[in-house]
Amino acid sequence: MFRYFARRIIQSVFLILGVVFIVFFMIRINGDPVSLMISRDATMEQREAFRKAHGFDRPVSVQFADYLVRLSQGDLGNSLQYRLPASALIQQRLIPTFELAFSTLIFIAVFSIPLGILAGLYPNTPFDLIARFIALLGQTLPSFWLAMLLIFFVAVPIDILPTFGRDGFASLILPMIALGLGGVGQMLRLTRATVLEVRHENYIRTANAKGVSPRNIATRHILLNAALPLISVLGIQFTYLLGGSVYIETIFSWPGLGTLLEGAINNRDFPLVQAITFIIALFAISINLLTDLIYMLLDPRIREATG
Amino acid sequence: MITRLTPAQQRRQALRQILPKDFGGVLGILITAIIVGVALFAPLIAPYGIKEGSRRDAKLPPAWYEGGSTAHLLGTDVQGWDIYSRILHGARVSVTVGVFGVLLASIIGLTLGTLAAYFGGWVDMLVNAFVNVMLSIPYLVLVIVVATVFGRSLVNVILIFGITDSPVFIRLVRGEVLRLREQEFIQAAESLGAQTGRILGLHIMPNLIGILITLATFEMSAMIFYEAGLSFLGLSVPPDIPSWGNMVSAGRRFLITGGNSWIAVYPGLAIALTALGVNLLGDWLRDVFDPRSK
Repeated sequence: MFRYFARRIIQSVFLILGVVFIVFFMIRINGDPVSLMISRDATMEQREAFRKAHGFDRPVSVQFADYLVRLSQGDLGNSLQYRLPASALIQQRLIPTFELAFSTLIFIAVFSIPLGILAGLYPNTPFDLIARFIALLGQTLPSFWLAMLLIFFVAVPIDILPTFGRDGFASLILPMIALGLGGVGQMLRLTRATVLEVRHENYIRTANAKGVSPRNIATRHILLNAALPLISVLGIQFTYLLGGSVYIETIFSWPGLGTLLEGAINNRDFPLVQAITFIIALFAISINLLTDLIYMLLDPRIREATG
Repeated sequence: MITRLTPAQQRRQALRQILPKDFGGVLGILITAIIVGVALFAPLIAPYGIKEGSRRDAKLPPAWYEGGSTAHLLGTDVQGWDIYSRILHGARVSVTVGVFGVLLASIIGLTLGTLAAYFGGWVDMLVNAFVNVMLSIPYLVLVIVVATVFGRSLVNVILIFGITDSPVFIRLVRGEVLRLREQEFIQAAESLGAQTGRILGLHIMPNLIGILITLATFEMSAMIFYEAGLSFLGLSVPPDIPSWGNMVSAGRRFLITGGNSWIAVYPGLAIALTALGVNLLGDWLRDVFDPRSK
C-alpha cells in the first residue's frame, strides 16, 4: 500500500510539472507573448520597453528557469491590470469559489444519490422515470443558459433570492442549482447504473438465499458496495465544478476565481491568467490524488492487493 | 435447419438489425438529421438574412407575446435582427465546429494512439505524458485559456477543440490497440508474416471503428456544448457571426431588469435540443456497436 501511495504522489508531482510547462508555453504559442498583452496601437518603443520590463527579451530557456524558481518560492507572477502579486489576488478569491463548489458538491450528492439508489432498486417505476428525466436535463441544459433562465423566470418574478453577489446562504441557492445540474445528471446515471449492477452480483444472490431481509440487503450489501465508485466520481465532479464556475460566477457576479479569470482574459492580463490556470490545475490534481487515496483506504480489496 | 432467405429478405433483415428499436434512438437520429439539414440549408429556409433589419424593429417580442407578429416568429434582438433566422444560421457554426473538431481530434487520436501502442518505449511515455497533463487541467479552463491565446475565428475554434479534445481519443485508441494486439487473430496474422501496416489497416482498424464512432458522437455533443460556452464568454467566433452562444450572451444585459428574455432563451433552447439529439444518437450507437452495454 505504501508503494502505491508513493507512486501516486510522484506521478502527481510530474503532472504538476507538466502543467507548469503547458502554462508557461501557452502564451508563447504564437511566438511573441508581448503582442498578446499590449494594445495593438502601442508604438515600437512601448513594446520594447514592455519586453524589457517583463524580461521577455531574455532567452526562453532562461525565462523558463526563472519561472520555475519563482514558482517554487510561491511567486505566481504579477497581474498587469491590478499591479499586484497574482497570489494575493487569488487568495482573496479562493474562499468564495470553494464555498460555491463545495455547496454544489453537497447539493449534487444529497440530491442525486438517494434518487439514483431508488431508481436503481426499482427500475421502470415513477422514481426511475423522474431520475432519468432529470439526468437527461442535466446532460442537455448548458449551465450558463440555465443560470440565465433561473434569473429571468425565478429570481426576478419571485424576488426573494438575490441574483448577484455573495451575501449569505440565499445568494448561494441559484448559482448552486445552475452549476450543479450537470453533475446531478451524471451522478444520477452513475448511481442508478452502479446499483443495478451490484444487484446482480453473486454475493447479493447468496444473501438472498441465506434469507437476509430485503431491507438489509439494500442497505448493507448493495449500498456499501455501490458507495466506493460514487466517492471517486464525486472527486472528479469537484474539478468540473471548478471549471464550470467560470460561467456561473460571471453571471451571478460571484466574487471568486471564475470572475477573476474572466476579467483577466478581457483585460489581456496573461500573467494572471497563467497563475489562475496553474492554481486550478493544482487543485484538480491534488483532489484526484486525494480521492484515489481515500478510495484505496476504504476498499480492502485494493488495500490488500497492493500490499 | 437453415432456411435460405431471398436477397430482399436478407436486406430487410439487415435493415431491421441496424434501425433503432427504441424511441430514444429514433428521436436522436431525427433531431440530429434536422440540425444537420438546417445547417446545410440555413440560407434557403431562414426568412431573413443574418443582419437583415434595422434598429427600428429592435427587441420585438415573439409572435405569441403581446405586440409580437408572425413576421418575426421568435422576435428580434437589440439590432432588430430576426432571432429565428439567426438560430437557423447558428446551426452552421455548431455543426461545423462539432464535425471538424471531432474529425481533427480523431485523426490525432488514431495517429498518436497507434504510435504509442505499437512503438512503446519513449514514444509511449511522451504520448502518455501529454494525455495525462492535458486531462489533469479541468477541460473548460483549458479551452478558455487556449482560446484567449488564439484569435477569434472559426478555423481557430476548430483547431482549439481538435487539439484539446484529442487526449480522450488517444487514450481510447491506445488502449484498444494494446488490447487487440493480444488477441489470437492478430497474433495469427503476425505469425503468418503480415506486415504492420496490413495488420493495422485490415485487422485492427475495423475492430476499432465502432467504439471510435461512439466516442466521436459523444465528444461532438460535448464540443457543441463547449463552443456555445466559449461564444458566451466572447472567445469563439467573432460577435457578428450568429452562433448560439453569442446570441445567448447578447441577452445578458437584460438580466438585471429581467425583460426581453426571449433574446437569450430561444438560442439556448437550440443548444439544449442539439445536445439532446446528439446524446441520444450516441446512446443508440453505443448499443449498436457494443451489445454488452445494454
